[in-house]
Amino acid sequence: MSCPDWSALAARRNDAHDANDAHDADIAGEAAAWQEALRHLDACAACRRQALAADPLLIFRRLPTLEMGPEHERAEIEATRQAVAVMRTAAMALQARPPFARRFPSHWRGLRPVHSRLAYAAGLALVALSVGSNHAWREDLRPRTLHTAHTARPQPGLSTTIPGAAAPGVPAATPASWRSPIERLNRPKARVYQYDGDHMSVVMIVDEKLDV
Amino acid sequence: MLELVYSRPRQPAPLGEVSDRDLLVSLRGGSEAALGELIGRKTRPLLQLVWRILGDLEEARDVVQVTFFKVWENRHKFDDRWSPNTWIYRIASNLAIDHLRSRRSRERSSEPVRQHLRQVADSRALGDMSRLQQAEVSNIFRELAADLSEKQRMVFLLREIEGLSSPEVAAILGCRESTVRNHLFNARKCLRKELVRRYPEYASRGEEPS
Repeated sequence: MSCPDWSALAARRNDAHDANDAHDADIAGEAAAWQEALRHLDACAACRRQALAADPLLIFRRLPTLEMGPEHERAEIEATRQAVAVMRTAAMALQARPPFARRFPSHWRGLRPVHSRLAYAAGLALVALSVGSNHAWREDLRPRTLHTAHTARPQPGLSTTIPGAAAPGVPAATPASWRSPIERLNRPKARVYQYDGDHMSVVMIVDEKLDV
Repeated sequence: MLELVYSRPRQPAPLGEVSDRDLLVSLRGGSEAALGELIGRKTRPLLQLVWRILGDLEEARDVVQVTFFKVWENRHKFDDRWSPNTWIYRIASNLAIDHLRSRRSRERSSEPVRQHLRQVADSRALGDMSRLQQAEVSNIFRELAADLSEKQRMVFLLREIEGLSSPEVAAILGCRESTVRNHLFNARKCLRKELVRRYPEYASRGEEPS
């Protein structure tokens, strides 16, 4: 197949995309011809110069695609599942009503603003734990061989901002300050999240039922 | 008189084999397994799309995670006459647009980036686009797209880069096709003008055969 006339194609395309006087048939015809030309362009280096001269915006066909190997993708999916689970748990916590609210609804309505704020703060903390991007809130992916029953293995491809975290699969020399004080959790599938701040450490344990 | 001679309980198809539409129907019924399967199927394409919109992978991850959460929270609203992809992309797009708007109010100056890119461009003797690295293309797009409205940017990416049709884009953005055409026309006009103005060497020479 010979190279298309990019100047003519681009001119037709610009005319057809002028929304003020575009007709559906013109647009459909133009779109089909353009798509065919693009397929040709992807396979033909010879007409790239002409194509880009006719429509410089074709440069953006070279926008990078997301490079992700199977391992990386699995880790990404698992991290997303966990984050969504935590957000759902937080949402349920926000919706939860204490038992006395059913018996004394009027009292509950009076207390709700304070209670809601507390629940909201707790929920936000849980969400931040999971979805915060530039914070130290991250799942602790270090291998847990000491002190805890956390059995999740480190997942390749997942990033962590925890200082001193080991490379995936490599046991880390755990500094004393990082050792969890929690011993022998009777929850083999529990996941432990930990955040060490300057003045406070926060540990959250999520069990297999997603109870916190 | 009918007589039952054999009965076998119907085994539901494994979730990995059901269509996206059936998956969302299961999700609507509250199936957490369906949510897990949906995340498995859609994380990568959504991440790709949102990453291109936002230009930042960490932010894209956050938006994708919230997208699935919203899908779960709004599962009862899903109508099985809708295209599953359109519905999910619509949620993701709205979140990405919100994110862009909040980010736009945070970041104002792209001048240092522009100057750096210009230096990189000037250092290339021929201004040959075939030598442009993908990262540079990405940076140029991010810089030029800062002049577009959120809707224009979305339409350009969905239509021109992701290759969706105008009706699909209209369904995702919740607007008419003529509006999509309008946004696309204006986005292309703005991008072309700014590309020629800021990077004339790229816009005028075209690409050498590689």
